[in-house]
Amino acid sequence: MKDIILSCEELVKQYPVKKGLFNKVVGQKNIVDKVSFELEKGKTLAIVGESGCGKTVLTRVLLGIEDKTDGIIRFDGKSVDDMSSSEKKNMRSKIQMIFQDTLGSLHPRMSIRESLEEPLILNGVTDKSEREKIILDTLSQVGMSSMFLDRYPHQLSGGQRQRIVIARCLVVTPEIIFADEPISALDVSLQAQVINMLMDLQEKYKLSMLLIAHDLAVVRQIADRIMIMYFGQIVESAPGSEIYKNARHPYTKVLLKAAPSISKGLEDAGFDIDLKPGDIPDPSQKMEGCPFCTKCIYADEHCMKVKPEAREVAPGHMVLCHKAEQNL
Amino acid sequence: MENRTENTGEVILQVKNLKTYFKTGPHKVVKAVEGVNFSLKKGRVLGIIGESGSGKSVTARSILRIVESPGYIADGEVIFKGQDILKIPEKEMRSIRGNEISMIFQDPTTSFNPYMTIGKQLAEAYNAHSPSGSEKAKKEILRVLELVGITNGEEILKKYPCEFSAGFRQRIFIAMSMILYPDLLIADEPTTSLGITIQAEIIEALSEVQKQTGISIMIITHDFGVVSQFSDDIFVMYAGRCVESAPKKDLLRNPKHPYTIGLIRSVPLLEARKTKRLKSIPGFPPDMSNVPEGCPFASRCEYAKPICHKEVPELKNVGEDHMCACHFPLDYDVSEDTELG
Repeated sequence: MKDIILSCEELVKQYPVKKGLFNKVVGQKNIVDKVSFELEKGKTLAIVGESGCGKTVLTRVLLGIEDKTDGIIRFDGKSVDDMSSSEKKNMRSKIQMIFQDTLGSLHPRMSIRESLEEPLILNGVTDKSEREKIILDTLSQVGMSSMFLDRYPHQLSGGQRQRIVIARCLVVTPEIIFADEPISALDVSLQAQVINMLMDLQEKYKLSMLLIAHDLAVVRQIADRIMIMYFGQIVESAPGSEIYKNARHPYTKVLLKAAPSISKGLEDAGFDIDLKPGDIPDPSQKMEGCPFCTKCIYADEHCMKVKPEAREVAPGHMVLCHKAEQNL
Repeated sequence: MENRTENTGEVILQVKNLKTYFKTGPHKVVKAVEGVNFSLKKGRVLGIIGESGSGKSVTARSILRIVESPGYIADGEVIFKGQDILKIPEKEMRSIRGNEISMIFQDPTTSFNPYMTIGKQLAEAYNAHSPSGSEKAKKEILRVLELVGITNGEEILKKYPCEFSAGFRQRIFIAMSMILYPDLLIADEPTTSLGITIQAEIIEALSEVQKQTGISIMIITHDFGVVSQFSDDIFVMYAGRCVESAPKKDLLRNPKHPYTIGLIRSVPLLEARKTKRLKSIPGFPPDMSNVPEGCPFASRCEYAKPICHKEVPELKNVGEDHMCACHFPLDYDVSEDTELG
């Protein structure tokens, strides 16, 4: 029996399309389109997609920063819609978020101590000495010394700030961490440090993680399961290594081919990628066929007319493509 | 080693002991570039890799002499086609910029004037150096647009920069920098702000331009994947200094400097690694206003010995065309950590 901590079913988020002088609503565009997944306790689920695919909106909806349009979100088996407000508050302290922009995540006029103390005060830790103890404890977990406590965010480097942001999540002992591109703003020599640290913390605290990334190289080490998102939909989802070995969806293959790598450099591989030069579709227009058909080199008439359904091609490996079985 | 044969070609750009400092206070100097040496051979692509603050962009700007105040070039020579361009008068330098050496920047949005059509901006770039009739300019513009894979040139000339996606704008910008067929193109993080498939398209366009015109390219990036796929030679910078330079395959297969090895071990890769954890480089890059004595990497280096904290290692030959600035160069094989051949 799998221990599912967070799941969603057919989650939809629409934004209204407004037009004209009085901002009349003329239609709806689906930014997150029927997304379903399960996050297992203590595991890492990675969502990979390019900018504009809806991955950030998805996390915002899951966190409750924005309301969902349709679908069910379950936390610890209970639907968010059925929760009382105190249960919701409790849930929110159990889910913490790491944003990409570390400077924007910390208040510029609050010292590091104040920034780390604030979530504790909000969560009802009233004893000052206890708060101090938790803070010092957490700081050493992320490999920082207490001399940083009285500094301000601008006095720290990007890598140090990212550690503080992670520490700020950890002080309230969360169960799930959402990390939105946690390393893409960091220098190359620091990326591995942060990835390793997240893995260590995950093991130690049995954290579940939802990791968002825009390329497949970053999540290779850390993800137990990878979902590829395109145009608001999950086009492929599979256990981590499966994606790298047996990618089925043409878009996943494009992502793998486009990712620069050292081995491709050693083989003198070029940068040619199999994409049609078209544009991605306009989300406010109603789509008939597969959303990827405008860019897909394998697309035929059937793809343009009929929307594909998600199918299981191997145990735990879902693909949203008419030609998934053909092994293109 | 097929690329070795063309390696004997003439050197188009040679940078010798370049030092660029920023005066940030009455007694405070940030030594952003501290004695950089490298050369670029004609028709080859040189990749400069380094972290932010390692001085790679300042090196590029020093070559074009566009370092902004309070920065200044303190010492060194930049020999371009046999002439030290740090010594020539500004007026002559202006005829080199854009004409013989051109540069593309990271942000394709701010590189354009939002109020001018693409056609006008391209014509402006063309006419700045070789004033001629609008007919001739237009013909040249369409030709250069075709070079970067834009075949419907006529249509886009009347449009404004905001009407295109970031990737397409960067493509147009590459065309603009190529309009006078310069001898050297400096690309400063040309794909950093772009998505991964668009990055691949832009690099593909650049390498197509390189193949067709035989131009020499210097590409600056922090992405190991991009340099390994695109460049012929790689040059690694750390804290304003050159730590290692070699032809691509040498550097990737047999890196000698502990920093290069650390990077190859730690960057996220598509390839499977043999260990679950990445082998990260401990510590943080040094504060550039206060770089410690000795080798700048010593405090993060697991092989550092007492001499490393006292003396700056010189850039020495450790193999054919392979330079390394380390007191104790290592022997390392990439296949130890990754499933790379």
